[in-house]
Amino acid sequence: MGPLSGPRTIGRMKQSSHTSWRKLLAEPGKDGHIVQLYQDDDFYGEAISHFTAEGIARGESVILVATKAHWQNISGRLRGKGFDPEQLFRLGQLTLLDADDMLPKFMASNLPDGGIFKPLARQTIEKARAGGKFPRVRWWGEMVNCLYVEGNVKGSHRLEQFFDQVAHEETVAIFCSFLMDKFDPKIYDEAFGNVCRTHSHVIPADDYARHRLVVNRAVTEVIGDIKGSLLQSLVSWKPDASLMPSSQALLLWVKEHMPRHFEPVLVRARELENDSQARPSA
Amino acid sequence: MSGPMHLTDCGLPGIKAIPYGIHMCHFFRGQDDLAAALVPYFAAGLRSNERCIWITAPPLHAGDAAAALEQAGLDALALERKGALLIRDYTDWYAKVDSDAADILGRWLHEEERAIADGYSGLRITGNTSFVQSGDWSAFMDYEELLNREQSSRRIVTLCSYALGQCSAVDVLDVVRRHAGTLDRPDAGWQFLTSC
Repeated sequence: MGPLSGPRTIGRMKQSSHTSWRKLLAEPGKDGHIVQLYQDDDFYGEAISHFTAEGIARGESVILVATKAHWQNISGRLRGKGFDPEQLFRLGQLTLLDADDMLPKFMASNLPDGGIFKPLARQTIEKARAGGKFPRVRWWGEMVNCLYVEGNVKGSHRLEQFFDQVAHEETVAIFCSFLMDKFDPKIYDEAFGNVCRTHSHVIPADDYARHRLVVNRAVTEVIGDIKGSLLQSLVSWKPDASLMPSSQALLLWVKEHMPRHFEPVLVRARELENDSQARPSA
Repeated sequence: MSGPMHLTDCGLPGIKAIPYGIHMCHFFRGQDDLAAALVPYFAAGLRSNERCIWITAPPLHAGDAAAALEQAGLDALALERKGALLIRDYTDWYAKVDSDAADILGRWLHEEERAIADGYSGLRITGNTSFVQSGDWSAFMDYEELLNREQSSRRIVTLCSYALGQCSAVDVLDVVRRHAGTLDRPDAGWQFLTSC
């Protein structure tokens, strides 16, 4: 943007949900279905503990379906935010289920069975409402991610679809975390498309400002300025239904409209991100 | 005003009727480009008995805007005296609002109510956003999102101007996603590139 000074009032406008995932996870909507793409434990743990802490603070009931190893990360951060998980369990405001125990209960021939899973999910939600004590429920789980990481893409997508249906039917906000590299071209073959089709919002990166910067720069370096017919194509483009930062949407536009540039853009964006992470903060 | 009560004349050659409530944007390359969009836009608004408010910023200041309207045969001074037209530089307009996006929106909605109470058919607005600094961009996009949502049921038409040279590809997507329609002039005529 230009060098001109804006009026003070614009600068004082509230911080945007488009600059950070925090506001989105704090207020996911009554049946929002949000997904985070992560690669490091800090972003992963911080996002889940933030989602949980904000739900608890709002008087909601929170269901977490975690592997044992990941619960260590999450519970430690919850304690760091001043919450006592044991006390929350006793109050019935926090429900913890083991992802590895849950999955076999509804998997049949390597695919989730909706006839088993959906009633099980509904019972869990009903119990979390504690007879009306907690009318609002939010749910984070990693069973879908467990299947994805195992290479069971079809099973993972099927389970996500079931979750999405239950979220709408039961009016529950759902948050998922996927171990997915946003700059890996392979995820855009199938997995990322599945993610977009089953989620209302996509959180592609921890640092939105950095993601914006590196994607913009990678596109400029690899493709050049977007003008003329390319600009018209960009302006006319309608992305998939799920909401995501414009920097992530731009990558999808490049894939669709300039497929031969897509991989070089991702490669360059990764290099730029690595450079910026290696550089000490000012 | 002729035609259905919920429609009005856009004024840009190639675009016919637009609905009240529409929040549009366009990307301009320079002063001439900007005037070529906004002069016919306001001429149509004045013909349609709408109160017109033009918030200017570089490269087209308030004096330039008035001169551009005069060149098109409109008596900007007389229209301002009558109250049908208000041309203000962004520093004069936004500096009077001492709060956040909701307050700025509230001021637009109040202007619409006042215009209708004064016998106008509606309110026609344009704002050139070239003054917005990069650090304020996200907050400004929130304001655009709010305006897009809240004006849709009002007798307001808005055309926001963005300096193309100041926008990255990601900025362009940010803007397009927060407006109900994006106007462009690829040749002699204008057209909607997107409309939601």
